[in-house]
Amino acid sequence: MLVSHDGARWLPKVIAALEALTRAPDALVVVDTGSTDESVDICAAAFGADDVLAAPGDAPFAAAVGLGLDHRPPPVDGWIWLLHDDSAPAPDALTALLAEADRADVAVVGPKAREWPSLGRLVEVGLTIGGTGRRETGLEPGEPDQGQHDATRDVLAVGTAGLLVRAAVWRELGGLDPVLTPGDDLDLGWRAARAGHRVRVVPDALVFHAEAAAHGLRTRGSMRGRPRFHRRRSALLVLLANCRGAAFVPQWWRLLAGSLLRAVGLVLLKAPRDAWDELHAAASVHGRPLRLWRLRRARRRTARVPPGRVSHLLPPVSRPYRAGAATLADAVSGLVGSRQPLPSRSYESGPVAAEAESLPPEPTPLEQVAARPWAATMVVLVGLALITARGLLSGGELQGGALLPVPDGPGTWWADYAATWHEAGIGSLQSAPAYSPVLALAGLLTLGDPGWAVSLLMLGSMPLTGASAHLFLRRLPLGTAARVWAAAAYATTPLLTGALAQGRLGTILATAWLPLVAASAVDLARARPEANGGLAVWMRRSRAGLALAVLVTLVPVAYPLALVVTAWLLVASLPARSGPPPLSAAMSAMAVLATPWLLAPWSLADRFRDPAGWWWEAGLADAGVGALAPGRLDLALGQPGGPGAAALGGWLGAGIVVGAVLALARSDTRGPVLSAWVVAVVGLGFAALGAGRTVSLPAAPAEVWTGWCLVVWWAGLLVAAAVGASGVRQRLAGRSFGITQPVATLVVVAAVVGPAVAACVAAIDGIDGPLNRGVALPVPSYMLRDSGAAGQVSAVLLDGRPTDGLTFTVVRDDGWRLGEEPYAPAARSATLSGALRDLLVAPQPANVATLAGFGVGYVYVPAPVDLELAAALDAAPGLVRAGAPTADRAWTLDVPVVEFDPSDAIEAGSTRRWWVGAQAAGLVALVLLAAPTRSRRP
Amino acid sequence: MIGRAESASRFAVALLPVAAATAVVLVADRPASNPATDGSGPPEPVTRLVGADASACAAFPRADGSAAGVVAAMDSAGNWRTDTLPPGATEPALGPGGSRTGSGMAAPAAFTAQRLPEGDGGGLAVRQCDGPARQWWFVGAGSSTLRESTLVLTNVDASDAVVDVVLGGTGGPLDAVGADGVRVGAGETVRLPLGGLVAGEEEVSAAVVASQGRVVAAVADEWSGGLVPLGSEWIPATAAPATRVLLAGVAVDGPRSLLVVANASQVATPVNLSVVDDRGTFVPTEGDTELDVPAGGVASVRLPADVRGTGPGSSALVVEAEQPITASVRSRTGTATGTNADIAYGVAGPELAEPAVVPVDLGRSLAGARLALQLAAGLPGQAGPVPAARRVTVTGHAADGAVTGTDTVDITPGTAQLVDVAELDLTGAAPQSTRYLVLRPDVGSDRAPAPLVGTVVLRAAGSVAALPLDAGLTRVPVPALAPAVVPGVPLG
Repeated sequence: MLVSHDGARWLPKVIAALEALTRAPDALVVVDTGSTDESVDICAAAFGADDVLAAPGDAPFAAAVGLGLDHRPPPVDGWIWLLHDDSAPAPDALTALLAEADRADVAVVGPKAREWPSLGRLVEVGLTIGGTGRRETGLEPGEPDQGQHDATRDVLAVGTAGLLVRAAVWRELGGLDPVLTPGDDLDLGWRAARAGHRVRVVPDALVFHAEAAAHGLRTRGSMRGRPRFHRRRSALLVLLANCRGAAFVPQWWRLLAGSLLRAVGLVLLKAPRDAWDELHAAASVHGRPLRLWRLRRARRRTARVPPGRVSHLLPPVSRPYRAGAATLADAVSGLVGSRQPLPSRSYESGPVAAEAESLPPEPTPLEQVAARPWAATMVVLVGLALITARGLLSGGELQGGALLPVPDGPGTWWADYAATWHEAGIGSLQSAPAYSPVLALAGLLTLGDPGWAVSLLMLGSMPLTGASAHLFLRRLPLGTAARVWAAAAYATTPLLTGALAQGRLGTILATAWLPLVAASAVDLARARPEANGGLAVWMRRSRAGLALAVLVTLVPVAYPLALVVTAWLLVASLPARSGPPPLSAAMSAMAVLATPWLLAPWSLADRFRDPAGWWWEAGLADAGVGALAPGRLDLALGQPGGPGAAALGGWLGAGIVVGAVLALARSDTRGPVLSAWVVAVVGLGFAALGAGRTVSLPAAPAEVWTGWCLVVWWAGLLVAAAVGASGVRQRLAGRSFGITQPVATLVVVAAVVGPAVAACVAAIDGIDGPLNRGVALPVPSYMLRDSGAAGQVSAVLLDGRPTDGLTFTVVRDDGWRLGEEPYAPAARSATLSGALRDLLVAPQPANVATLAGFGVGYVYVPAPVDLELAAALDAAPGLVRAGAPTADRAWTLDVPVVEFDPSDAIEAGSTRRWWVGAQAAGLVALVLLAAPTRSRRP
Repeated sequence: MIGRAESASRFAVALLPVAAATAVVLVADRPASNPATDGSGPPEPVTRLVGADASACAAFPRADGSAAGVVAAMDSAGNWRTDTLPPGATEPALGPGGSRTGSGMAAPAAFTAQRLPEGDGGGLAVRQCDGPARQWWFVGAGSSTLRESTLVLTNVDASDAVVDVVLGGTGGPLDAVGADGVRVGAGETVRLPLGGLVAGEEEVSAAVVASQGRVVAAVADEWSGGLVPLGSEWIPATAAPATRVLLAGVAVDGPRSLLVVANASQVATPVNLSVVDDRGTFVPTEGDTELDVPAGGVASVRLPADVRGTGPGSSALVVEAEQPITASVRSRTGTATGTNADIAYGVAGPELAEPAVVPVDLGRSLAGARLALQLAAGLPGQAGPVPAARRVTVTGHAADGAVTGTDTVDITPGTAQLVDVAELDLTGAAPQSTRYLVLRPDVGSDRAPAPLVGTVVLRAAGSVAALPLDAGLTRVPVPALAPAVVPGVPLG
């Protein structure tokens, strides 16, 4: 049976092959499904017009075969051999097939299919279907035929090109099912197996198949226009119609979920049409359960053996996951892998050939390290991070300095972001900080445990920073040594600036993120608008914009810094001939600078209104470390002050400064070096602007932390020094020996050794600064859980001595958590502190009523308790002693607590949800724009 | 080939960033000017004048129906009112006090005055109604066959108070059952006869400490030798123990007055007595001027003959010790048979730093009472420059607060003066309509002005009562209270 549709290209060869068969078929019928070329004539000329049938143009393969069989019914003990119009059998194909088919229990036999043009590559040796609906041939794409699959074996199914089936079995099973095209071959084989017949593939029989339909060389009539939809639909139907009863329901749900995931993935790859086909196929299958039931009922009728007998023909369940794991391993080795090939091993087996003697021996560990310098450096960085954080790995919540402990789950962050009224402390109408969605996403990545996320990001900041720096530096023309050194030196900045010890979450995250912003900026600067059409440039713009937006949420001062740097870049690139045209550059600049307004509109607006807020990065503004007060030299050496600063006051980094200065002397790399220097000086300028200054933030006056600006300064210097150092060895070797060589050597040694020594010393010292792990809730939790009708109450925590000054905090629910920093000050806190002061000095019932009006239910004084303070609180009317852990004191308020009703305050801000929704929609669109495109299959 | 000028200009361009960086760094030297975060010492102490937001006027306990008292009060607007105080009642004072920082007007004040029947000891009992406090000291109470003291505790707040009473006798601290953890409910008055706590102790000091809430405490003292009434009085609360105390309010001459000194510390201490009169401070040559007070206990001594009561040469006392002590003087008038027998107490009272109110009109039964002001100014303890004289301005006010006359009194440090209210030269209209006086001490230019104390001694129909001058306002330091820099993170 030969089914043909527009196959005039291949038919002559097929006919020739048929005529060359050693054992020719007894009868040959050609069914033509509406060909528009001369294939009908060719067939009629070769076989006679009465054996060429015409079928409707959109008839599926199965229907055409059925038509042909009706025309010439085969004998009862006969065989049916199916062929495509682009499949040419080898001369002995039918012989080999029949030889195997003579066995009693074999019902379906199939050949080995090789690719037509090359004749050497395997296409198909038996078929099976995986759990996800994927058609498994068990072959690598383009695998050459070297005899590795030449064993005759049982398979689930064979392809219809060259398929030989017993006529009796065909009749028994009802032939191919037209509903399941193009997966009807799998379905036939599966049904045959379930009926107790064997399906075998005979590699001795060869068929050369051009696979025209699969390669899009012709459009199958029945699958006109939407091959993906039909393929997916048939795969789902085959699976669901044939799987065993117990597995049907789980398989149904699994396939539905799989289809949805695939659709989402295709949308992310910017292939919406494919995604729509996926969804349509899923809907068509899952939405017509009656059809599934009918199909299954039909198959149950012909099934004779238990399903267990068939399952060995299906691929193992782990197949898709093993493929995924292999892909992941490839990706990792690609990231970590080296440019230079490793020296190869020598295989010695048997007598040693002369060539084998000249192969280099197995590489020593040192050579292996030298061949993969970045991997080794990463290992060292991870080790340093572990040593530094050795006291902070367990035992409570990570907190201290500017870092507040994390809330229970990332859901809090999302809820807070959309809410107008926040319940922390005495309540606040301040808008949620812009970095809480960023932190929430990080929490999702660690499977919903924000504690792990923050611990990983803080304590693992050195390797993470190093990895992102390496990613950026690969885009620059640097030698390996310079790149590895620059990335490693940058990786030590969170530790050496003291940001880690002071719990400066914003600086640490922004330090790790900065190289990604720089990388996206470099990509954008190198983008050519005419290369891939506008989409590619917009992809890079959106990436750079998103990167900058995330950076701005973490460290808001990055926005004015970015404004200055962008302005300089635009101005400096105007006279250049190469590079993007000025209009495109200006549009890029505007797009990139406008994106942070999408991610953090309220945050940026607040800061434009109150410029002191630019210095308030993620976390608390004041880390409680006293005066920072960096002097001139401290700024120049990248030391923002405070505990945790580098050894010797940062002098160990002097080599980098000198190296960066000397890098300016090279004339060939002056351009990139100057750019790096400009960024560095801008960072230093901002640091100088803020150093030592106290800004009055709403919370409390805080001294400015210039850490991140100094990181920018340091990063610029490192890039300049690295660019200046690349290839310097050859240049200096070429010159005559003078002053330059020793000076250069000295500078290089200082630049390499300095940060290394400083980092090791800092790591060995560990972190004894404000960052610690401890109990996050400072008052007993029984106080803050429900207290009856009033619901949640808060506790006022008083600490200090009346003679030295007291501090108070309001603790609610689980205390102050990360992401609640903007709510700490509230406009009404003056009333609260006035009521507290009155309570201590001249208590009246009105004071206690004021406290209760704020929702305060307890007053708590932690150990060591000042006796005067305790006496004053004892004497206050309305305060009654309550239970507290041994050395602490607690009082409960005698008056009923009043829940503050924020409804009138909320009214003003009820539009926040809409704005957040619009923001989310805009972000989704931007992320889609920035996602990598899918490479189209040829 | 690149020309020299061009290479030089390129070199200059290359050096520009370095020059910019250097300039930035040089400009950046700004000293850290942030007192709030550089932790340099405690902040300026701020003080506030604090008065009582409510006070309680208790009637003398166990008085029968014939002993209605009088409550006379001045409210914050300066109006003077007198009302009847039924026996056994406790009146809350009129008008809120609160904390006031104003100068000029005195804090609202209320007084009770009661003529007691013979069955309750007889005599005149006058007391200023106090506001609640956490700690009270009383010296000179006791419980014996001759006398009975009753501790009256009133709670004016809306929540319960719990009080501990610490008693000390001549032998040291006294163990009393039922003196600890006395619960005074909101708005309640609790009367604790000392006989129920410590019986048979002649001289007792009582420290009332509230462990929860605050109370108004007063001690009512009755003397009756069998059926002979020997007088009654409220024992005023003394000031907090100190190593040097100044007592005014000696109502009668020398040996008829008994000084009782209480030692609040854990160490026994010798105590020295000096006499302050209008000529100066001196140690009398006759009589006991030294005594030892046991730790946590009391000691008493008769005053030397040189000590004068109200009259020419009226004296005050200076009691000095190595440990914090407090003292009171009990003056006895009348005969042992009960004629005109009454007692009056002068105590180491509060310093007069703010305007204080002296009641002139205490009801019809006391219409003819003679008032004498005993004012004494002390010397600073260390040898230093002698402070300037204190000037006290006395203003008379009518019932509606209108000023009826003004006078001034100057008191040299280290002297005491007696001022007869009737002989005050109150220039102004209608001194007869004076209902109360306001005594305003001057602020003084000295950083350490001489401490000033005063007592009003009332004599009416053979009865005597003494009332320490109490402004009702104290200056308390206000602790600096700021929101915590690092909220919620456990401290320490």
